[in-house]
Amino acid sequence: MTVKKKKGYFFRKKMTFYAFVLPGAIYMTVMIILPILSNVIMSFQDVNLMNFASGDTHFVGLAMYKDIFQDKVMWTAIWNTLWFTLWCLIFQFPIGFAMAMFFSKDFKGSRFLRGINVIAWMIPMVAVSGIFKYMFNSDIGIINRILMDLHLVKAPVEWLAHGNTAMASIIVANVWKGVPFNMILLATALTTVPADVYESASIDGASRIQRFFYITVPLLKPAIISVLTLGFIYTFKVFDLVYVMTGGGPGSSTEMLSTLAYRYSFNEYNFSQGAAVANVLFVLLMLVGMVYIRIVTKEDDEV
Amino acid sequence: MKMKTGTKNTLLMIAGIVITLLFLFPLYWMITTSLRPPGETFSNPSFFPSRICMDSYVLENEHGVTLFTYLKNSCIVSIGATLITMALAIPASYGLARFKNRMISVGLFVFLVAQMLPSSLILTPLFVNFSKLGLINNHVGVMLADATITIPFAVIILRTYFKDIPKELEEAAIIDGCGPWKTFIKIMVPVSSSGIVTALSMSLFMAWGDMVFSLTFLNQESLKTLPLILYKAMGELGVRWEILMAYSTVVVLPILVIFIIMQKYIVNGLTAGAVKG
Amino acid sequence: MKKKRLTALFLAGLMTLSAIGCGSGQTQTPDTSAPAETGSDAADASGTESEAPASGEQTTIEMWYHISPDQATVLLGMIDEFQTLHPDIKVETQSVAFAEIKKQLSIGVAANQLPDVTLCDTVDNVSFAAMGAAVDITEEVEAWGEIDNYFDAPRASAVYEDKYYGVPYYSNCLAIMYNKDIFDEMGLAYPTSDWTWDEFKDLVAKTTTPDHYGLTMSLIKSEEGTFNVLPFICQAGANWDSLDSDGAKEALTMINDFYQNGYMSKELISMTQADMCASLFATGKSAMMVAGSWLNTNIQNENPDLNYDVVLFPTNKAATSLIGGGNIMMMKDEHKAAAWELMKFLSSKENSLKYCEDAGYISPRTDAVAESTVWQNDPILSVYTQQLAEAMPRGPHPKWPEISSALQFAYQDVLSGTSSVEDALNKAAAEIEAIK
Repeated sequence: MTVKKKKGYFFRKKMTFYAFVLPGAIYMTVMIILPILSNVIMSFQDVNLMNFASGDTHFVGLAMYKDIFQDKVMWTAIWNTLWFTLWCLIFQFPIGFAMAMFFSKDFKGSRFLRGINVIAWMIPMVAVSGIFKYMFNSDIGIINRILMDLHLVKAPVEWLAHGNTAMASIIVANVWKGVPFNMILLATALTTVPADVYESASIDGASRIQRFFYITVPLLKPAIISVLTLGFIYTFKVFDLVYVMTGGGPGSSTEMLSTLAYRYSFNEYNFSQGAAVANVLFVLLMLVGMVYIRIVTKEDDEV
Repeated sequence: MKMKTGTKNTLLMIAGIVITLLFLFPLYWMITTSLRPPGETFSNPSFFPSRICMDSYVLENEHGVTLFTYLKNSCIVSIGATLITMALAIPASYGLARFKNRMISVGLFVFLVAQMLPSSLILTPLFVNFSKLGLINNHVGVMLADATITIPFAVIILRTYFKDIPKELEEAAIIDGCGPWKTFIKIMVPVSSSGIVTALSMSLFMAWGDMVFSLTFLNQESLKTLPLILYKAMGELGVRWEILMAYSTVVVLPILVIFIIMQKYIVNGLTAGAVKG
Repeated sequence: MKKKRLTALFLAGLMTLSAIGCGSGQTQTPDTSAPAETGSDAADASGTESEAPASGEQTTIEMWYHISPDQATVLLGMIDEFQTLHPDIKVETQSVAFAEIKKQLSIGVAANQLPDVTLCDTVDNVSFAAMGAAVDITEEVEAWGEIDNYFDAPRASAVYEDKYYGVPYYSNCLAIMYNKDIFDEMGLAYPTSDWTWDEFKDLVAKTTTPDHYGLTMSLIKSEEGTFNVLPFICQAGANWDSLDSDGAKEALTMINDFYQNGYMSKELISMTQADMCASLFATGKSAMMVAGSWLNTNIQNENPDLNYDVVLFPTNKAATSLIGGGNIMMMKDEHKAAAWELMKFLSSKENSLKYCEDAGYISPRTDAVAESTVWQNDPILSVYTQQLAEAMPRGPHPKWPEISSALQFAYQDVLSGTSSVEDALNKAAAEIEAIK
């Protein structure tokens, strides 16, 4: 327990801690927490364009929540958001992991090539959406052309015209941007696996697959959980991509919670309904976010 | 690790190059499309443009605002947002990395929650407050809003970084009679400079790519940023893909250039971030 | 420089804090508190318009518009002319993306940050009036004495509860454009203005070949899609308030058959009218297109050699088209006189004629149309003038965005195979019933 006593030796005065952390914390509180609170308040009122400026709003209790949950599109949006997130993770995590493993091999240019792949993560979402919208075009898109050249499909697929294929298209675009994120965080974690663990394992005659599942994965468990939760959070709140690529369509087949909230607020001027949907999205995110926060703070205790 | 044998090394390298080329194909496609002659994108695409044509890069608009202005605006906004981020995130992450008590969970919580919030959802409240302050049609407004995305990210990267710096360094500084601020500025910041470079570049890229905030807060043509005109062009030019890809290339190119120059530092920073000391 | 910016930032931060503390304390002074530096950025751009410093009292008014850059050139020229005529009024213009203007206006209302004058889609005028966002200009309009020179349908789009909340700025309607070369090649006779739905269906099917589609129309999930789909519903004797009727079902079934049979491109589900015109009709990839007069200009820009003509909609019960276009609204009464002066100037017979002719629209003013040689004689535009006589307004209804959205879901669900025509329309009808 002497260690514990030693912790915090540096900032003996609380004031010092506050001086370091408070400016940032206040900033985030003003810019984020207060807007969240104002969203919560708004969702219990009947704010629309008519009374927004005048302030002549009324408390309506849970009426907005009742409204949105009675609308089938809300359930569609919840389902779509979960479905989208699930598939994005299913693809981007293994691909990212595989690339991380591959580029952690010691060959000439491995570090450089790994770095170059990270570019995809840096590309602005609006550009990613545009590029993929073009590539998925049914008449002139390169994806159909490649699929047809390889005789994988006979006729052009109308990617953005059907619910399932439109969903597949936005998943592909999002996975492309997400893979480098998974790759780089997992590559980070891989460097912490001591080489001698592998060496002793190969002496014991473990196969590559065994080594992967019995050594690499357990050792990387904390990193894997945190990559998955962070990935979940970033994917779950997707907005720009869907807004630009499909607009939530066709019909409501790619409507997400974030686009639905946006549509209620800015298309139909029903700010309270929009805020209510936003809060549902936020609560769902928080549930998963708790896991992440637990990991981060637990890690802390271990240091 | 020992060096692999020559052939294996070459094979791996070739595989690595192939993977990279395949993975970055969308970028190749964006750039080559932008160089196609007008009309070529309406027919079935070939892998190479029939000839190189720079016509799409004559990006005009009715306000006489040049591309240079948009570029400048994007620079102002992203640099401004990055400065705010660095000024607030570096001390905050240091404090969060070193201090132990209940407050840390609260502080961390604030930053982590912030990271989970889709930016489109705080638009209305922010807009209302910003308009009271004259921050609409003002780059400062966008900078402040962008910083809400970049600060949490920077804090998460930098906190790990500071945590991994051996405490002995500070102890030595204290013995030398340095106060917390002096230790922070004279020792901690320089020691963690690679992490700071990473956080800085990431903030720069994130702010550069923001569309939602600038779309809402900037209406005046002379203030608009690059992603905004790309978005607007998508509505107006629709299927003139060669022009749209030219716009996209212009938006992406600065990031590409900075990233390639800096990639060693950025990626090292990202990878080193979680290494336990 | 750097120091100045930092100071500005700290100021901004402090102000944010104080604003949270004291609520609506400082609502009225938005622009003056803007930090100096960005202020100078703004001056860079607006400085080109007039360098003359304000002598005496100069009123500055702000105008937003959502029309395309090509169409805006004439408008901006007129605004310059207006400023020369009225040296005491300075007009600042802002271009907002077509898809964004409703959002910008709505948060503008919420934040009390609105332009003095704005262009908007005709269907949105009444919504903004009902919300109390648009300014009542009945007195001004009546004193002006020119509103009787407007066509009825466009004028109705500016009226809410017997009061004027806007002035129609340009009108348009849809008709069917067809590619003459394709018809010639296939040995088919051109459609004539008395054609029926059966003939229309027949021609759409016949003109579909591996080289080109039979028909092109926007089926996007936005007001543009509503604008394209609803005329067929009206032609079959239904309207937005009777979507569960047989007529509406007949219309949507026809469109769905075209779509599923490959007579139309599947991409149309996400294409705007400008997109489909550029990529399908102007390139000769579609024999016919549901199109407004302004697309004429687009075709001239894309492919001036295209050999095409236009014909009225085919008749089922009627050959109805719907009115589209834009209105000018006043959003703030702070500079009411100056704003109204600008609205009057832009709406004068001469300017209406000049703008609408150039942008490929039809003037909402009867006297301008009567005077114009273009709308009477031009082979393309004269057909639109004729079609406009058979056009009905969309709505007007204060909740049009929600009504339109219900219809959009109906046709998109049907086309993407999620729902049957029957189910989709019944659902939309029920939703619209609840909205009414």
